[in-house]
Amino acid sequence: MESVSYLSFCIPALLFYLTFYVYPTLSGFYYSLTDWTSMKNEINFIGLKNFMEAFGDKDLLNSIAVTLTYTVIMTAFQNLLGLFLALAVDMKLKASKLYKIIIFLPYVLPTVVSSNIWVYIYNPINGLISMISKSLGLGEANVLGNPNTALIGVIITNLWQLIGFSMVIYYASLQSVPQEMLEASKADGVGPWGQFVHIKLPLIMPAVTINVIYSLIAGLKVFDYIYVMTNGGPGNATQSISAMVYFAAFSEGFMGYASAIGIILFIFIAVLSYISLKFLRKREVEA
Amino acid sequence: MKKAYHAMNFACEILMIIISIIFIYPIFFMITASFRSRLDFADSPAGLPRTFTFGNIIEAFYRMNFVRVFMNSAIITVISLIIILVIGSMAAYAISRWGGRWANNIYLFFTAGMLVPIQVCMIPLYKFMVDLKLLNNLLSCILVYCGAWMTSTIFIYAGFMKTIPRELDEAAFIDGATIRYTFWAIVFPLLKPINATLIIITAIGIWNDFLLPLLYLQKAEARTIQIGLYAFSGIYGTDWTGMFSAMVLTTIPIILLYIFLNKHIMKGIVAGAVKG
Repeated sequence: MESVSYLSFCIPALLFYLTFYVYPTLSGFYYSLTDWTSMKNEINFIGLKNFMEAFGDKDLLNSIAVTLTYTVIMTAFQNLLGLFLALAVDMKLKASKLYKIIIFLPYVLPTVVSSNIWVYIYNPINGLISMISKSLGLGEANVLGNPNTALIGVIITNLWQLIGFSMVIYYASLQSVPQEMLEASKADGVGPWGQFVHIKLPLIMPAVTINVIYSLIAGLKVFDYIYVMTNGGPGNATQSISAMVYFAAFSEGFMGYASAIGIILFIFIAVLSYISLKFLRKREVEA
Repeated sequence: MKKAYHAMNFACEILMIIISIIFIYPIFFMITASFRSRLDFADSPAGLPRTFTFGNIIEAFYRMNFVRVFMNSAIITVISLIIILVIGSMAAYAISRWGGRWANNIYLFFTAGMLVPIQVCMIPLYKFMVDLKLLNNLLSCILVYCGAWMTSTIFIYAGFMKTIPRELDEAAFIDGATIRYTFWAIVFPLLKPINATLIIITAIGIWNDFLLPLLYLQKAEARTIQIGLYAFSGIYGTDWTGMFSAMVLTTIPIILLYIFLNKHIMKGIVAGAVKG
């Protein structure tokens, strides 16, 4: 009797989850094995043909390279800078609270807003970057129009928005470092760097795990910034895997093929987060 | 030794002031630019404002159909939020108290969804919405949010349920209370802190979401505030004072909330991330 009541409590959640998430996900797996396009009505099962095609698709290889570059740079800088800022704020500076509030502020902005602010900053005619470059005698700078700099331009926008997130998580974790430990080490003549390497860093490893996994997944899935700022261009210099799924399905109409790329993205996310989780968890210690 | 620390603190203070200015400058620039006349802005975009006008903001307010898009976003966010919190907390409660293999399997089934990116299901969902005739209907996004947010919501609630002593429920059962009564009258009121966390992360996540409304709410009347702004940039993208005004309109509700609640927002984000 008890089980029935408990199950009835799960049913509304299960219903929404099954209908609007699980069922479409399973359909996504099925459609990746079909030739579904928006041009014709019938949908035929074609086995692994989409995946075979994907392996030889230069555009997909480009997207994978773009996405991995993006993810590696994002994860590295978001964590290094986020940790650095958390340590600085943790030094109990005069305006620590204010610094924290300001640096975290971009995080709550919608991506359409943050992306457009930076589209302006990067614009070649009167944007800030171009003006600095002109005043240095380097001529007009078109950050997002140049295939060599466009991806970095998008990454900087994303970093500006997400560094605050990493910072507050690292900061919260630093609060759990026992004060006595730091004082004892100071009495023993350990400097700030030594304290960081031998005491703080080992104790905040759980926060490192969380932050790295978050930025890894956010990087692999990146879509909004690219869609708003560059539309994948110039050429396909910033075409991430997610952007490719979107364009293949909703601009070109290759629904089946786009589903297959979506599955490939899913595999990337699952494998890379599993590996980093294993790697990072080993380094966590108890206080 | 002490002196060295002082010098280092001072250097850090200066460095943090510079970094803070770099972080806030883009937002400061957006806000000031939206209140400048077109001529003034075109004359010296990076210079100090010499004019002050509400004209751009008012114009953008009408051009992006602000009341409509704001209301659409508000309806989607509030309704999704209520459903997510109610059904999510119920399921997490049942899972944590039920125990045994069944409960564990249901829990794993929910949390496994965290690995699936929306890119896998957004294409079938599009077809699904067409079949259900829900395209350009706010319900499309509400239903998908309720399904997709279950996974992290139940994960966070289930973690919190462990901190609520079971003896409370058991005492209520002995007094003859039903599970339904026990949950709503005794357990739910104790969920206040975690509810606050979830309201913050879910509301920000849904309000700022771009991809789902881009796919399912294309028509002008159905647009959310984010898509309203995106559509605005497609038409008036080169009119920068107009663009900044539309961006300020989109951002003001969030910045106001942030000014008053920044402590809670940061705390909520940390709690959600650490448990998620």
